[in-house]
Amino acid sequence: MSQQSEDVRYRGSGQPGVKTRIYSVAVPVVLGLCGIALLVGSLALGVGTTNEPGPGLWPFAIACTWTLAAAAIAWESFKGTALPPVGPSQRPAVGFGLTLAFILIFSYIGLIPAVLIVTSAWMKLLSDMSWKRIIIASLTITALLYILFAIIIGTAFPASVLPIP
Amino acid sequence: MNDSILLGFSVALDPMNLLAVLAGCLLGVVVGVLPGLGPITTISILLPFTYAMEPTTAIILLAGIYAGVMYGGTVTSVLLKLPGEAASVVTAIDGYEMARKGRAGPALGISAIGSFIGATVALIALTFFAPALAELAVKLGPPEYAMLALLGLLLIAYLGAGAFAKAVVAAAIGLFLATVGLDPISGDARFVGDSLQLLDGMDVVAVVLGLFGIGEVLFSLRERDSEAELVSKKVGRVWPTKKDLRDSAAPIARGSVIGTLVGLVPGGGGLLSSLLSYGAERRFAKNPEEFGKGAIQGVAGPETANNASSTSSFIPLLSLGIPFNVTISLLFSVLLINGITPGPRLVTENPDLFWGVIASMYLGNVVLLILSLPLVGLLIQILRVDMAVLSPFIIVLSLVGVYTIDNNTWNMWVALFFGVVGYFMRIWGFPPGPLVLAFILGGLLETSLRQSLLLGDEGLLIFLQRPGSLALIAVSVLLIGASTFSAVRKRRAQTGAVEESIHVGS
Amino acid sequence: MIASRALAAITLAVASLLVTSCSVGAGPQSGGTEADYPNSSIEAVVPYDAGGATDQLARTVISGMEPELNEQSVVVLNESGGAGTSGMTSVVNSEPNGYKLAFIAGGPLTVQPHYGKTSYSYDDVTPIARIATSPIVLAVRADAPWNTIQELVADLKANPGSFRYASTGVGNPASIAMEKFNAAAGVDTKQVPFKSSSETVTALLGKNVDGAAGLPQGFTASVKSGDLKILANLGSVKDQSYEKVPTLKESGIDASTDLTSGIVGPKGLSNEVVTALADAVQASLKDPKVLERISSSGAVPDFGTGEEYAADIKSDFDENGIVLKELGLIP
Repeated sequence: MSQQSEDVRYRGSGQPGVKTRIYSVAVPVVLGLCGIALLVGSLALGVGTTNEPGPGLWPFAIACTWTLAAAAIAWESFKGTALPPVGPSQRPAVGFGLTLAFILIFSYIGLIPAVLIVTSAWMKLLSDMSWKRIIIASLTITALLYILFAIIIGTAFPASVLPIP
Repeated sequence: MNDSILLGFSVALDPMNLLAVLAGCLLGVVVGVLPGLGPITTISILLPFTYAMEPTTAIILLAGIYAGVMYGGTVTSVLLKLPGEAASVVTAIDGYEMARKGRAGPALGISAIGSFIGATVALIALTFFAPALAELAVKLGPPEYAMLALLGLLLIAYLGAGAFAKAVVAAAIGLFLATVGLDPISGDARFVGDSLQLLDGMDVVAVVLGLFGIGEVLFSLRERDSEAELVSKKVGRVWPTKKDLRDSAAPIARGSVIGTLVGLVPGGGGLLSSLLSYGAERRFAKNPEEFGKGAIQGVAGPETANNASSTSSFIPLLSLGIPFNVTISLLFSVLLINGITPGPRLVTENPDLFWGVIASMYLGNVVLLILSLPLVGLLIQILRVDMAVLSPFIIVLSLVGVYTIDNNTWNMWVALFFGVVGYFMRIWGFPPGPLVLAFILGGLLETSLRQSLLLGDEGLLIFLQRPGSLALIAVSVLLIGASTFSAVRKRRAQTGAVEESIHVGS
Repeated sequence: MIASRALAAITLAVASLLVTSCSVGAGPQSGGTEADYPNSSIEAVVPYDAGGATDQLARTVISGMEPELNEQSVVVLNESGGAGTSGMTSVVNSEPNGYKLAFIAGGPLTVQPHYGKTSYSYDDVTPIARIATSPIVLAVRADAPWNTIQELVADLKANPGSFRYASTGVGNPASIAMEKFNAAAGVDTKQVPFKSSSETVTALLGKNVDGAAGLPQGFTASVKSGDLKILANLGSVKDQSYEKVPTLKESGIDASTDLTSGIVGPKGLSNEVVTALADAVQASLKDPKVLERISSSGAVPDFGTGEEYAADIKSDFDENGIVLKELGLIP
């Protein structure tokens, strides 16, 4: 898998810098803290005994496993295995923003504007497609989804300001 | 017996029923391909129409949809790493890797063949051994379910490649997510804060589409052009090679047996069977290191098992009158509304319904095979569509699909959240597969563990007192022992190899 | 683009198959004046999954209601989630115009508000009509040593804690019914909760538990086949399929638990609308086909006016509060 090859790449690029090492340890440590928070939460629910198990017993067991495994990763990182960097995040951030926008437009305005706006913005911002191709593609996607969900399946869409979904 | 089967086929070949088989299978495949839309949504929509139909025709239609969805669910798992339903998560691992290598055609082809064989084997079991299998289904109780789920959880460690500790964290997160909501035993609300929506727990489809669909698309955006990770541009050959068929024969045979038996577990049957089959194949394979990198056995076995189990889950319905999963209980309600109570007497009281449905399931399988093999060539063309068009399409389709789960935007937010989680997991090398599988098995495991403790008087001893759970414990212990042994051996071999390569390099 | 053309082709094929389903999925209506109610289709929210007992009941009753409501269609919307509270919340917050109603069975109004997480209380609705009542029953294996509930009580007094029963979850009607039975008969039974009624039947047939409590529907098949018998009716009503089994009260134990199902609307519905709907329900419950379908599910058709239903909701809410407190589920 590509992930492995990335791991190898970073391991292979000599001794990681201080920044990378701090980051590589910080990620599993934060993860471990989440595990500890879960541990506290499950204790609050009540662990009970093996004969009378409480609602928190199972989450407690999970939290222990979680925390220990996170600690193991932190130790690995501390010894020098660097985590792959977060890397270029501008384009994923745009993608995230458009996904968020889709949910909002879908919830408050309607299916058709949401699909039209988000797919065309996506193609414009994240690829080199020409406007002509973008319009054809986003109209196709919109029509497809409209036929599938609104006509065939008859989904009840959220309150729309438009007469059609 | 021959008369009964002849009666069945005479019912199934009635033009109306034949049409129901065809329509059901076709509709099922289409719906199965759409992420988020499962058999439950489809059957719910059709429910009012089935009230007007003959009960036999209605059941035949719905059974066709159910089988079709199981076929269709594979397509997007392989092509887009977008599992249409829970049981396809396992297929997504090696199936998608095969697609990346330009072997999407063989992956889909072998799934269709395996599904056909698996479902047929389960049907033969249903035809001839239904009463005995139903008896077995009833004998299994919470202790056995618990041990099966535990075995499944152990097998998760086999999935994919990557660091063990990271897989454990991912599985722990999945197990934790399964506990969110009402405690099934004590009724306490756990980890829900003030959210009413969380009281019911999170929907598995929303989590899966977030982690796999949205997470994967966001990750692919890191690379600028068509070099994107998402899918390979290569379409490759359509049909499995002779070697593929040879490699898949044994996995399909084993998958049929595993699926038929595990289908008798209520709830997690489909996923558990594909997981167990994957684990078994990895153990029996001559090339275990290929698993997670596009091994055809990792597609053939689980897909076969998955379809065998969905067919064998009809056994408790038809011979005991007990629906073992939500889809089957929808079929159950159609029968009830028509004044038919499925149960041990169904076969004597309504022989034409009983045998008609079984015969039409045989037909449905043939229809699906004929339908899906030519479709493979067509479907893999989706890989030719430009990534720039495909990514927003996947996002929009996943989100609307997730909305239809219960017509509520809440699940869209869940999917978005897990999209972000999936994105970071992908970056840091945490495998999403174990998270999803642990999430699904977690509920079954915790519930049945605690039910077992309530059933016995001596705590954990109950697991040793019952032959079924004892046998499953033995299998798990053997498995752990064997994998520890082979891991040690492999590590030794690897260390040797690395040293060698260093020598060569210098 | 070949792929999308292929998809479109498949889509069209399916569209022609299903073209009749287009009518479903209308948006919310802008109601007209009350005099001509109803003048457009009505949304009936079922806050549970399709195919469940309440869903079946709702669809059955609706089939007989539509002719009485100016032939307007009543569209079922399954809004499951939050143990029925999701769908309930959306109805409570809707316009009280009679175009959005909920078909419910107890839970979302009489149990969930006790947990303090719902945004509404049990009286934030306008009860419209009670449709049916179903008792909770206790089933055991046919070869079990007890033939009456008194024999079980006597056995339990001699061997306390020896009886394990399967329920569909703590705080559910089945578990509440058994708690009330325990208290009234002075016995102790051990509950093993399961997720669905079918799992409780499996556990009982497989000899993992000694009994199972739940709605009669879940046991029908196994009782018919002679594998199980209904030992006691923990409620107050009877359908013909178990009319010979005495209720607890008839057996001298003072406890009774029924599950009532009915229709509610948002608070502030006008009397005209309530009456129009209640009349439609009443008419539907006279249709022999509707009655037969309800009875085949083991429930008992039991029409009640809005006021009667409101009283049921109030008394169930209060009783459940007491039992939930005893169970330690609420402070």
